[in-house]
Amino acid sequence: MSADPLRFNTLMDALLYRAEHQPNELAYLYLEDGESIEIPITFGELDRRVRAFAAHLQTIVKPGDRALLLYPTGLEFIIAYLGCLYADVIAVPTTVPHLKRSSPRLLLMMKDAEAHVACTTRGVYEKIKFLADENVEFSDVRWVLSEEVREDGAADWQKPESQPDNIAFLQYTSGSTSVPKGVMITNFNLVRTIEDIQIGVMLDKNSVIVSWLPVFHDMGLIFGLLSAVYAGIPSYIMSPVSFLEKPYRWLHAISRFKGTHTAAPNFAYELCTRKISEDEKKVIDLSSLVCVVNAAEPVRLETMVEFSKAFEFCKFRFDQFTPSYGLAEATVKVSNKKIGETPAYCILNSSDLEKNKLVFVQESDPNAYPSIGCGWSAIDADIRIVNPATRVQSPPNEVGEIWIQSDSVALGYWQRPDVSRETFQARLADTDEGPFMRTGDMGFIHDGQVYIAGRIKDMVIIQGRNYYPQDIELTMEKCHPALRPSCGAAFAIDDGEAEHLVVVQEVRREFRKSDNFKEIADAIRMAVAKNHGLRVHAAVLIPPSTIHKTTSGKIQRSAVREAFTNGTLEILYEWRAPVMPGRPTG
Amino acid sequence: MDQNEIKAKLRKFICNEILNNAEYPLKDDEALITSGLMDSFSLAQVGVFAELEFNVYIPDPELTVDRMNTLDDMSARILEKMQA
Repeated sequence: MSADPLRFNTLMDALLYRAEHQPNELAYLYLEDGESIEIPITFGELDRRVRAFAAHLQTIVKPGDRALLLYPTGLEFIIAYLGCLYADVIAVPTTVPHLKRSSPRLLLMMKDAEAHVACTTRGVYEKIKFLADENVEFSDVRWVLSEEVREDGAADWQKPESQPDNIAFLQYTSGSTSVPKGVMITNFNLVRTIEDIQIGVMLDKNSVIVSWLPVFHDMGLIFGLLSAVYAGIPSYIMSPVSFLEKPYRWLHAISRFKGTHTAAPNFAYELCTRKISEDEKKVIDLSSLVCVVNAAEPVRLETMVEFSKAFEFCKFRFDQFTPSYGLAEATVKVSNKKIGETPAYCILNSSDLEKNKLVFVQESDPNAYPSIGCGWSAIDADIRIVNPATRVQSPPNEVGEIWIQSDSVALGYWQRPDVSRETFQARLADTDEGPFMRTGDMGFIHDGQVYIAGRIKDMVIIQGRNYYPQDIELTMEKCHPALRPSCGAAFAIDDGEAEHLVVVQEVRREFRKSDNFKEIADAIRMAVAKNHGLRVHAAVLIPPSTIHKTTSGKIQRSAVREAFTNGTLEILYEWRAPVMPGRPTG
Repeated sequence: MDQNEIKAKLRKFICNEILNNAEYPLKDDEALITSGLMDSFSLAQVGVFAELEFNVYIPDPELTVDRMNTLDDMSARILEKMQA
């Protein structure tokens, strides 16, 4: 194993070590415009600024207090986050609200975390001051602006004891309609997860990370930023907006800085395949990549095959893809494909899968459903497949809920003893083995790899069969050229008697004024029936960029469902099945 | 539209789209699902076809193997809905 063998008790210890032993080496380089404006920082300078930030915090709050971090992508965020660790203050990273729509979540989080301070930049503060003025949740909060931290304050810093069991930060989950829950990640969880990543994806002293992922979210924070400090390697970062505006910037940065490690959810690879032109490809060389993580949303074989084809010219190979599985409750990572191996997949019968049965079929089978292997843990996590109803371990030919016992499993949810017990202290009903963390994800283990079938809470159950919404969404987006990929939601609604399938899908900009909406909706209805044996109860077409997504770009099905039931969706065309038998109303 | 026209359209749809064999000599009273010729899965497609082509909605409890096993059954049910 070529991974840097150095191990630390806490991330603070790691940065102190890096600052002492490699002070002049590059830690981060922030590409402010995604291309040419470069803001670098070395480990030595980073440590000094983190000490200064921590010293400032120490004059305001005490260890264990919560500090809300409201930052855009950039060095200020990293310094503030690490500053919290240096002050033994619990960081609560979150997205900067820019629309009124995303502020209810922030207020709920504020209330739940009982934050004592809110840290941000002056620019952001000016924009969101109205929140503080209008909401009681902010009335007792002290604002800390990064610009106010004295550069020479580092000398005043009081080093706290390295406490592996103290909470390092709260990672709030992307709950949209319910109150968000803060996952309590300890210093130990954080360090062990980074070791899991380090060994699992072979981060060594020659590695170079490139990331555009949101910094307040687990994958962007831990894989994109923190693993660089731990391993003592540079990370080149840009904002999600830079990437979304021009996906080319991401691959170009990899090419320019000879990136070896990068990560993104599946949709990002689709976006690159669609948006990067042949001319742009001419200046991209992806041969430096060792590990290209595909995680955080369902991993699609087709996406990876198409991306590999599209970027073969740029020296990209399919085996550079590293499908991975993780969740905030396990700090970020559970498993990843072994570096150097080709991503494994198996072809299942989708109709048996709906009944939680694993039946392997040929690729030519009309019900063929490819499922991607997400590898295994690099820190010996105990991973089990369990029937969620009986809580008994599932036989090998069944799909069940993924249960985990590992050093990366978080302490629980902040101030939620009941939900925490249910999720983090599960035991097998027959053998009493435990405690396990219930992931809420359905999957199976095959040939030593974890495979994910879908989320329990998103699962659409109609007439006793389980459907994974992402499968229906894929069918939908492919059935007509007017539809925007990765911009549809499938979910069930309950009319009191039965569950019914509803699909909501964006149309492309150029089709916004189409006079053919009926034809498009008809195509969706027929395609879903054909591929899933299921009729939609309502098919709704909406304008581009109006579907509810999380800050990291995942479809928020529950929010779309709520907007559908409340009648608050902006609708271009809608077809609904008649409630009573009779003639359709469409 | 009479039952024979409905049957003709249904036959064409089922042979082309579900059986993937336009030449298949499908008889009016031939069992489609119980014979294994087509999957009960495919009834959803027949249901949507009825909605699009004949503008009738067959509710789920009626879109079942015992009520929709032959062209005769299907066309009779569709006609009944059209006349309702």
